[in-house]
Amino acid sequence: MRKYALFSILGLSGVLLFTGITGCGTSNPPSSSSMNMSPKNTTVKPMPTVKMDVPTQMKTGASVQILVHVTQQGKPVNQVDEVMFEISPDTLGSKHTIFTAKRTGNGEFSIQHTFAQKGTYDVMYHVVAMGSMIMTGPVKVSVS
Amino acid sequence: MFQKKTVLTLVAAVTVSTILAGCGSPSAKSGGPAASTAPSTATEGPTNLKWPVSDFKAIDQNGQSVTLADLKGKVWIADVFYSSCPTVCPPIADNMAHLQKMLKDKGIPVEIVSFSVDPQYETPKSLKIFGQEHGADFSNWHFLAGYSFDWIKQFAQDTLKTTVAQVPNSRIFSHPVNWYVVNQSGVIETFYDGLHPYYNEIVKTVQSLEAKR
Repeated sequence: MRKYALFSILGLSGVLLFTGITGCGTSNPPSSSSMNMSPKNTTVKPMPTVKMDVPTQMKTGASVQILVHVTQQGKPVNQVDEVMFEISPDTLGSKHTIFTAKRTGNGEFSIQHTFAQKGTYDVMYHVVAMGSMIMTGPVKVSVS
Repeated sequence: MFQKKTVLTLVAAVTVSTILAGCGSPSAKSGGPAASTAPSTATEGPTNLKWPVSDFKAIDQNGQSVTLADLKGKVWIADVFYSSCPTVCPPIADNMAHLQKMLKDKGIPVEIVSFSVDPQYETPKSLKIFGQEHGADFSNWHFLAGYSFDWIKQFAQDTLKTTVAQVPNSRIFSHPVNWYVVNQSGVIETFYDGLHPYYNEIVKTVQSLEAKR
């Protein structure tokens, strides 16, 4: 009984501590740039490199992963301000939709997306990391 | 048993206090459009950068010429943007308008200079509309174009030590999101994140530079 109580309290403490750490992590400023702002770290690093990985052929109703890998000088960047994907039907006057990505790996940010309708779409990323907004041209994907 | 209880109580207390200490809001910020708390490691910018600003001649939202020489003797804040920027430029401009008001309310003189990375498209009208949309006070905020894209690209590299890049055959640009604080001699002293600004720190920096006048 005592052992059970001991484990329970320790377990509860562990859960609380874990929750506290993860909760606090999200409340801090994203602040990739704050790393650049450290007085001791004034070395100028190049703009991060972003590589997008999206299937260019897919079927309607299928869930696909759209992801980017963010690196700087070859090292994965995990502290980003935001990573978003913009998806637009490739037709004149169509509205784009923006989706916020989540970190799903080391320097990897992704969304799961299901295309409901057939057609051609433009997919592009918006990444803000290490003091820069990084964008590139759209990748065309075909949904059949 | 007493000892066990004491240990358990301590474990729980330390755990809870750790959580509270970790989550207690430092709240060192004055609330702006995108205010964020300032961790102790980032309360100061990279001081004494001493990056000289390259000479420039540009046209502002009123069609007036603005040069580096015009800013001599003044403390100013520089950033880059483009008026058709879809995501980050609007909130950064909102933040800058908030900073501009803070500085004005405190009576701290400053000039704000926003360089467009899309000079081929910008006109005084597009610059003015962008400024108006984000609450800019044009009395000391200059939205600039009137130079080539190659020039701003080189300026970013030489002066801001960063990259401006255009996606070929598009009006999509990669660009810095920082605010660069320039002293009276046209030299960058430090920079801050314009998307999540540490307003109070920036005000202090501008104030201290202004005091050196």
